[in-house]
Amino acid sequence: MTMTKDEALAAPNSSEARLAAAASAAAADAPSDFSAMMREKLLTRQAAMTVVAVLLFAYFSVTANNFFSWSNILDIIRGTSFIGIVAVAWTYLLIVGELDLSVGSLYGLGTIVMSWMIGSFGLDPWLAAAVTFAFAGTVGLFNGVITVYVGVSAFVVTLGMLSLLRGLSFVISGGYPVPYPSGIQSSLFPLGGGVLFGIPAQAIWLFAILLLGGLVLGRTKFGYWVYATGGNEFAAREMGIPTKRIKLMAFILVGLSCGLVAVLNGAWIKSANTTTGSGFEFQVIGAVLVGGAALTGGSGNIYGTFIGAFILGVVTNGLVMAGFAPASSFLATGAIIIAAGMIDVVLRYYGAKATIWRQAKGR
Amino acid sequence: MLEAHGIVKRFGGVTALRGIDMSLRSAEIVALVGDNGAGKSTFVRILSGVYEPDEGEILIDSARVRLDSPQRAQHHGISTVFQDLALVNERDVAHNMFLGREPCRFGFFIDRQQMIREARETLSELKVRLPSVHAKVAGLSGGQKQAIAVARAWHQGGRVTLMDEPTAALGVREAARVLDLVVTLRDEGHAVLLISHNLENVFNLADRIVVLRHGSKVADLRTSDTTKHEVVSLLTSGTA
Repeated sequence: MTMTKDEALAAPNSSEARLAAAASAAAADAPSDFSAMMREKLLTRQAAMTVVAVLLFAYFSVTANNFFSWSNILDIIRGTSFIGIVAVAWTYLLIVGELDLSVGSLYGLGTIVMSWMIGSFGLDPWLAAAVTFAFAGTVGLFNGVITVYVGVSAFVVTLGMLSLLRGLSFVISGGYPVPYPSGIQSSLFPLGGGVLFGIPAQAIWLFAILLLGGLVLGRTKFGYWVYATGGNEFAAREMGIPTKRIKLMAFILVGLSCGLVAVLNGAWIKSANTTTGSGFEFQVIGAVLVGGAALTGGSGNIYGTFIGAFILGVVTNGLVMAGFAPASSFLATGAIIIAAGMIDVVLRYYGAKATIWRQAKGR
Repeated sequence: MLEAHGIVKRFGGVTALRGIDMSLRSAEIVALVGDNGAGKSTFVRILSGVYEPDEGEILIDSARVRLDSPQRAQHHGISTVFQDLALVNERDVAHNMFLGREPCRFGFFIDRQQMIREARETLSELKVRLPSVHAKVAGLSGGQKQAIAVARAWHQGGRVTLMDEPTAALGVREAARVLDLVVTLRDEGHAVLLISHNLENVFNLADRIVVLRHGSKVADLRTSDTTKHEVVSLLTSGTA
């Protein structure tokens, strides 16, 4: 019994003939491959939300003065960048079937830690940034371990963290803003507040993270395992995918993304405030959900999250440009999240219809 | 070729397997039968590396092996068609065919071309009809899903194939196709462990029948030496 599969297949035998006799038609052919691919692509939330994004952008460009200008578009991107960066990591986490409500508090605490390290401990800003980054990653690790290995639900763990981390911010800062020492210089600061070829650093970071996040999720083994873990955890484990480790890594990624935006924020405004990042989690989750990732896990992608963040950014900015009170963006954001959920239901209805039709045709 | 000695598995206070001994030889189909809860699926999960036994040892070609992960089991040439099929509905056929062992360039970039090519080749070798390897598994019929799980085990190319209720969800024609495949595997020299509730199939296909009852092996019979009546009696009362 040393026959390899190839040898076995090369040697014609009766069993193969029997199998061939059982055959009734050829296997997959190219044209139906293409049409199946197009159907899966077009009937997605991401495609629908792209249309919505274009329509919203066109609407505000026509109706709101000064909306359609290079400087305003850069403003929109800058305003969306931190949300977008954390939303990329959050997309991974949602796809593996978990969530993290503590991102706003961790972002806020990160900025405080950074200021504290520089102001009270006299650390070099680069070193302070490293400490902040490591701290945020550790909080992500903690959230992950308690959720994945101890078995407390992520909702409970991270809701607790949301409050606990905000509390820590107040304890460290005493409730006052923590400014950086006046006149401090560092080669770190342009990374957060600089401009390269007329494009603000935050925007560059956003697009770099989007690109990297999309590449890793869509094209690497880790990304495939993220989808498999969230899509069917038990099946993934049966096929040998280390699902717990994948989940843990998604938690750590979210922590690290919060650390990154905390560092970028500090490098930009050179101060920290206890209220930084309050309500941030709502915007991050909104962007991911509008982008089409399902709360049940297993689906979603980085392009969708980008579109989701873009839509929320356009609406927030557009309403102000059109003369509405800034607070109206809360209303609009909430309405968009619900509307996006409803688009999903409609798409699923037509998707299911297409499947039934295909099967009725005997395909 | 594959031997298991004294396999014991406990879940908390429940003992699922109480010392199972059995062997699988190449070019042989062994049917594992037993009532619900007899421990069949647990035994398969141990051989496929999903669970580790609390006691006992597993030998492959007379060498003791530790099957502590599904990858390790695959490495030793054991492929499995799980009862739940172990498919991810939201992913396409190509990915499901390679779940957990995706071909990569540089160790981490998915080699999508190779995945699609090999998935197509394997499916057409086995005459499995699917709309497309790009189609999500969610939209496929029960038979098509079953075929993917079988094709995946085939593609793994192991010498031992474990099949946990491979025809449970299938219509008559689809089931016949899968059973043909089981015979093909045997004729090519694979050892096949087949779990089935369908005694008709068991008697048609199996060379040997192993009966489990309450986590213990109560019989290990050559198919030609026994009758359905005897097996039913073993299943229900533990004695012939």
